[in-house]
Amino acid sequence: MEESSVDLGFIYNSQHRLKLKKMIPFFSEWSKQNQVSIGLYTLADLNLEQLKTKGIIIHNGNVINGLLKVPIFNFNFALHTTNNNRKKMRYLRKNEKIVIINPINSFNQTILFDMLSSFPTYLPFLFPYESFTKEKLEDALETKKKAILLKEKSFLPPKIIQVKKAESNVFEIFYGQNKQTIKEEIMDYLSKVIQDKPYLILKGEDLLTWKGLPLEVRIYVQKNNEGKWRIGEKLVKRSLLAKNSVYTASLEEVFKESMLQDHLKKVELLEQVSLNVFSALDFYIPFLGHCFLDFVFDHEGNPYVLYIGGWDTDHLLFRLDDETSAVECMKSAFSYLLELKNQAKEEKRDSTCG
Amino acid sequence: MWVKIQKATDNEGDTTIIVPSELNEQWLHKTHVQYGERSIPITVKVDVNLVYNQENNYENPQMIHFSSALIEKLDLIDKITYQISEDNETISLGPIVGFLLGDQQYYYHDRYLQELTISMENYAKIGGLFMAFNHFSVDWDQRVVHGLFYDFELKKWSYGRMPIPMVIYRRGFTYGNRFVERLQQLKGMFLFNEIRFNKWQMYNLLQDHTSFQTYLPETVRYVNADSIKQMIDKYKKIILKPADLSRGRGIIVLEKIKEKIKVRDYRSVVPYFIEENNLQSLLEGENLFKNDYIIQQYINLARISDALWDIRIVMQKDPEHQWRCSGIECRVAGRNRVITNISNGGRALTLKQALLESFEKEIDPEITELEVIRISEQFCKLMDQTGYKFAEFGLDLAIDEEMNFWFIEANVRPTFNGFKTLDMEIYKKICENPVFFASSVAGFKRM
Repeated sequence: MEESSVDLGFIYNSQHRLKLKKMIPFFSEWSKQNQVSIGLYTLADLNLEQLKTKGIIIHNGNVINGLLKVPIFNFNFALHTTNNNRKKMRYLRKNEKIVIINPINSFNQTILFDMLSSFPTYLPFLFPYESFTKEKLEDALETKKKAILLKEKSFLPPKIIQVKKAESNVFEIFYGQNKQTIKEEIMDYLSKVIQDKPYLILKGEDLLTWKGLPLEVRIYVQKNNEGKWRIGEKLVKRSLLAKNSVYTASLEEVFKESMLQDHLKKVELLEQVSLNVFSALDFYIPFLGHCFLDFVFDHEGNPYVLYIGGWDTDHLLFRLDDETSAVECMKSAFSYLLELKNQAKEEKRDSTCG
Repeated sequence: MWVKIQKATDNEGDTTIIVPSELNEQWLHKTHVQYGERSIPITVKVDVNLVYNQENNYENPQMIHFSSALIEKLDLIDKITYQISEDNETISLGPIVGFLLGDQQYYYHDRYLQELTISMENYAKIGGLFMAFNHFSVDWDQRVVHGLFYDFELKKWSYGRMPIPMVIYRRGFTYGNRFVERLQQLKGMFLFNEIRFNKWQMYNLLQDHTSFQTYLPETVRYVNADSIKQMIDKYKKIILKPADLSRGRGIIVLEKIKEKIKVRDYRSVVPYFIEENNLQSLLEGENLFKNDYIIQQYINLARISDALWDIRIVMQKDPEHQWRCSGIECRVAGRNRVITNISNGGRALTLKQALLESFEKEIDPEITELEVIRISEQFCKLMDQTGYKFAEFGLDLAIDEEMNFWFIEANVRPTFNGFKTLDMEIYKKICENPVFFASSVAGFKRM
């Protein structure tokens, strides 16, 4: 069977096939408006040797299933957890003739925190942190009475372990939405949870809570058609990266309810920090196009970065009732990709003329 | 002189250097400080309380104070120790050397820079700012590099904001040349390994030199099945190589046996046969020629226990800017393999071991080694004649059953992992030689 050539590629996780189907009318409309063809495919279907894949081909508003060549410009909206798919992505990423935006969506948090620490501007938004050892945790609990433990790298946003020293040898541990009180054998308990995986100790402040649980805000950012970062959705969450804790209440309302002074300025600050953080990370990590930052707050409402991610498979945007934000997100992603394609065409023309 | 920079306590707005009175006469008329690409006008002042360091060495550097405005304008990393070089008007802090990385890692961190960390083992003999960065790390508006610099006290690479270095050792080639061209436009830039020739370009360069032709197997570029047919009719056995790939990827050996062609590729240990008239459709069907391919006569190379072997010679420039052989390793292919890479099941041997196992006593290892080095030096000098700047090559030579030498290929960014098992000291030297060469280009010698 002859394979089709398409302009832009969309890589997704196969378990999201059904969700993706709902987005097809959007892709079809966008493809027609911008006169570009799109191929939607999974890495599982990709033949690496031949750089061909089965997929959904959208051309001039028509949607067919078929065989396509891997396009030059692709957006990776997937997390690849199997060795085979990760190998395929590594190969695509290193291929000089192919551009993959967001080739990796799950970052090593220690490395990203180290990168951000090199910009003095962002230090106020980072908790003091270090790699987990038993001794360092004991020290943190002795001096600060509390600490947050964050897994360095995981494919799913990890639950966070909060440890508070209530009194001598009595510790309160918050793990997701569970709370336990542990006497003395805290390291035994933690070693079962951590299982020798690398963790970070964030030497946190007392966190601002909302409706009884730590307030958390996720800010999505993505590049627009000019390659500039723009703010996407802002989600209010609770329970430190735990699932099913999203609220549709607006950030402004929550800040106001939490009696924070200058709540609008605090929202502005969060947006500004998010935009600047990824502009800075662009110097260390190539081909970023869609990312998010999770923030927590101290009692004055000062934000601290808790977690940095690219695209997560359990994308919260698609779980909100209103699909407009998802459509906006896709529109921005494809406009950026199309701009890259047009730029490449210009560069090619320049080099031919020159 | 070794120096360490401290921020001046009196926070003056101008760009001032404060030195002990003993340096006043020598430095009073200096007008600029040079730090990588940055050259900032300065005023030199004296602080009689600053102690002049008689016993100057890396451990006891001279303390010099820079105003905070100067530190800011230089984007100075002030936690490391520098050497000073000077001319009539300018004081230079250095060496400032950049390693331009490739895309082996999606993003870099100290934990992924082991080879560069090994290269820094003798850092205390050279000091200065060594940075590792990528093609996307330069902020051209601010003219700064966001990269990793080596912190000898911590023995690790830390992220930081630095000026653009004027000596750059290129170690990655997978991105377009636009970035490299932009760097080359900077006045005074020394960018080494600025280009990588593919196999076809290399062949064309070398075959112009009569003295080197003798080491080159006949090579043609793949156009269609006829190109293969002509070569296979002439030589009966040929080797097809992708012009742009290294490490043996994509290699196919074809051998004409009566009316059939025996095919063996780099992935398999078991060959298969095709009809000669099906060659074009089969190869295209397999999508083998999506890449640019060259076709070479197959050389019956010497073998060790029926396995192919070749010689990897690492050539590097020394601080006197002369080509030197840093190491020779022989790589024996895995059983029934057409390529010799260690990563493909091969093993590493010394030249002496390989010659002994392959030819027993027929060949003198010392004379062979001298000949191998002579050919490699000849190659490097030919590369210098192209006008491009090179500082490192990994040459692959081979010896055939008649004891003739053959040039297989050369890479500007060779892997030399075989030395880890053969001789760790040689491996470490290969890692650190670029540091001393690049420092010397920057105007700073090993102390």
